[in-house]
Amino acid sequence: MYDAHISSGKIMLIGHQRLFSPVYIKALEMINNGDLGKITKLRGWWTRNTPWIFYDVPGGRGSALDRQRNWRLYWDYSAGQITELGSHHFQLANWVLGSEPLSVMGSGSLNYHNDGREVYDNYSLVFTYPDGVHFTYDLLDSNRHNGVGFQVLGNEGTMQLEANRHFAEQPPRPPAIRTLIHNIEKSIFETIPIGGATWIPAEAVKYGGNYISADYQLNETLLFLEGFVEFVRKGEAPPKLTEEGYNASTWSLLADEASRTGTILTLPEKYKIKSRQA
Amino acid sequence: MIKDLIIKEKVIRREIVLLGILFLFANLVNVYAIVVHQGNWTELASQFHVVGLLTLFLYAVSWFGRGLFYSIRAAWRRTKGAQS
Repeated sequence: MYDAHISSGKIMLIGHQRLFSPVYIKALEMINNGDLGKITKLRGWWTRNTPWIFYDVPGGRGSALDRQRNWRLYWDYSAGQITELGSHHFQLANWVLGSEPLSVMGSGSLNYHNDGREVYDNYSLVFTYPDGVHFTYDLLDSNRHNGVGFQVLGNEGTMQLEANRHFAEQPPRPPAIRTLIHNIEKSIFETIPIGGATWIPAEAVKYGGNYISADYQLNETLLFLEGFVEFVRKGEAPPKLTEEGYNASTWSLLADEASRTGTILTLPEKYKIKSRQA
Repeated sequence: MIKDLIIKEKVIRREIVLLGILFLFANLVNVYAIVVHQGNWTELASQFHVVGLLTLFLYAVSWFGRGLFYSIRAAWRRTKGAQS
């Protein structure tokens, strides 16, 4: 597909709409500006509690008709949630780090929706990037408590891109007078413990953070489509957009293979492309 | 028949002066907090609403304190009057 795009000169974009989101564009600007310091880890997850059945068909799961209508549930036509959901975040990880993974390993299982489908409903993946950066990724179809999330962790801050939040590692100090009032309140109302733990647990930071961008209400899918139409009209598109799509797709397929074979995989040389971005 | 309530000018002036003093005191608390907690001097303006709320809180406390004082004094005078 990519070769055909190059040889024909036709416009090709893969549907990674986050590339057009004002929130993500602003986040990338801040990350490249060093707002998070040195990025050491990425965390992503997409958890739902859904049977993921698009059509009820006579014959049920495994029938010839079901394989056609609910094709996402069968290995012959689909890599399951990895390509359906994970590929969006794999693209994001590559974009944030400005590089592709060195390798991917993972584990997948079908441990809840045992109804005759083939694709997994439970994944844990680890992508290794240059400089020892890891991207851990979870997919789950039997619990939606954690929803969808993508975190970029640096030594100076954290970004929750799906939630449009930026958390500085050292939050800004509150105004002095509020600190004073808070201290007075604390000295009057605080409970004095008479016994307790002999160590302080490393609890998660309870700090609300700040918005990354105020433009979160713009529809990124619509922006993507507008961009695509505009590129078709002009007859050219930034090569980076297609390359992001290509790289996310190849690493999605590698992640699928790694989780099904239990091996650590790297991208074969023949599938690597040279960036045409000026 | 409804009785007219008359607030004398002297009382109004006294309350305004008291409010002014408490506002000044609340600002001094803000200055103290900025010095002690290494705040920014722009907080003198940016935290004006907190200073205002602190002023009203202190004013309410002063009403409570004065109410308590006058109640005790009135009760004490009644007791003393009954004894004599």
